[in-house]
Amino acid sequence: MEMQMELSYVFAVVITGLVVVFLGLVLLIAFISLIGAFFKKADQNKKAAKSEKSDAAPAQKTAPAAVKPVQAADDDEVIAVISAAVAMMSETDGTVYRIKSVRAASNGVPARNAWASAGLRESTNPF
Amino acid sequence: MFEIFKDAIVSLAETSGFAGLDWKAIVMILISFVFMYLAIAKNFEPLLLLPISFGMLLTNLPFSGLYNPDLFIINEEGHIDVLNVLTNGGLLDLLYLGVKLQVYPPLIFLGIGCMTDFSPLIANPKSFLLGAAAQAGIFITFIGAALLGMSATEAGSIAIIGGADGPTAIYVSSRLLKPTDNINTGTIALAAYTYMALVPIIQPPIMKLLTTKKERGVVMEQLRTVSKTEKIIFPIAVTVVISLLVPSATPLVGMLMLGNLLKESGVCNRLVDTAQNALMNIVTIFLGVSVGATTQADKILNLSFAKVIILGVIAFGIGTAAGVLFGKLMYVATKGKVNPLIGSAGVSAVPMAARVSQKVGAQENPTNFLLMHAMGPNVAGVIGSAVAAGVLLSII
Repeated sequence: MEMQMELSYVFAVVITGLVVVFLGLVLLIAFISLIGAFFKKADQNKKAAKSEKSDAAPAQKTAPAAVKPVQAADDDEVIAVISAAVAMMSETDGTVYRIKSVRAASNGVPARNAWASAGLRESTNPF
Repeated sequence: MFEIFKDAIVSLAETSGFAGLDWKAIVMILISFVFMYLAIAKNFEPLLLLPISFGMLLTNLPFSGLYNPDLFIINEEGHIDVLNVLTNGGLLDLLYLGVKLQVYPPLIFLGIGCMTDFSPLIANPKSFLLGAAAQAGIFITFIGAALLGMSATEAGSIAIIGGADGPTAIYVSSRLLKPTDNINTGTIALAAYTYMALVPIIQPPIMKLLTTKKERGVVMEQLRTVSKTEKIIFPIAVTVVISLLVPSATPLVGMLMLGNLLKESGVCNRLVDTAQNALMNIVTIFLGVSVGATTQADKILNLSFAKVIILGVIAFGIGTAAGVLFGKLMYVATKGKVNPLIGSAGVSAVPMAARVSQKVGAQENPTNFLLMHAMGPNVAGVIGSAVAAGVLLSII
């Protein structure tokens, strides 16, 4: 009888011990997982905010491109003037000139507007 | 004058150690030499095993008077007569007070906490389950010890060897064992540290027996990065949860987490440096030599020590097997994402058990880097064994 009581005590110790150890560590799993999920979400939000900023940056880069059509309109006028001048040269020389391409003399970003350059040249011509 | 000379020589001879040398003392001294050899030549946990073995040598040299077990008998009020120890004790009696009053093991845990990185565990909290499963070795060994006729205090002290944690084993056995028991703290510590050193030999056959080639070859996903805030919250959370659940585990878990918090906070570098170096080394010396001093002949040269040795290896083996089997369960539950080999690292022999998982995994797939994944269960096992210790101390 004493041995049976001792065995029951033994199994009580074992079962209690295993249950309490697992319970304690499961509680820790739940808590740490919650914190981990919170920080993961915060990390994702940060990354989303960063990708929004990087999206805005290309948008700003395209804005100068949008300026280009304004320059293109100016270019069309310049091309029209060049064409008129070439046509006049053809009449004068008696030779038919054909415009194959029009290219800006600078790297595509003129330091001065074409009209402004023309005005400056006219104004400074006598000198 | 010759008579005086003769009497002086006879008196010296009678009080010399040679007069008190019996076969038991000679055997114990030789055993201490064996453990010193294992510590120095074979590198078996030398930091503890060498002081323990030298303490064994000192205490078994006759008439040394360094350690007197009678001073540590519990009085009618249920305490040690500390004043008696301070007044009449030898050097090792005084140092042993740190063991008996449960001071040294928590201080060692403080240093361990400073040296431990819990990131793999925080990144993969499921590793806690593997750390819990490996503690089954403790409780199943408790059954075995009880069946061999040992008392509850002896069974609990032997069972904790299965946790593969030296300081925890010393902490539990120093609290539970009485001088009238057939074994003592020194016996437990000797077995615990010897088996911890044998982890690379004991574990691999069990791991290979319980897993298939396919399971051993599983490559696990890379762990996520853990933020500094999480690493700071972790030790605080563990302390609160575990201390509320098992208050008797607080000294061990609390000091472990204090050490970790000091490290992770980044603002206490001087304290961290002291805790993991000077303090830990001082405590290790005091603990080792004083625990070794308790390994006197009457506690070692008996059948109970043989039971400790056999049950100790059983505890280790069952702990390893339980961890691997739970790892297999997780392999099935996660549809092959968890390598069962990391389950064996749930025994808290840090970092040796994790290295063994890495080595056995690499034998299957040389490019498989399991070490960091195995560190999760490994450090979870430290917490798990401390909780198991708290449970044993609460119940027994």
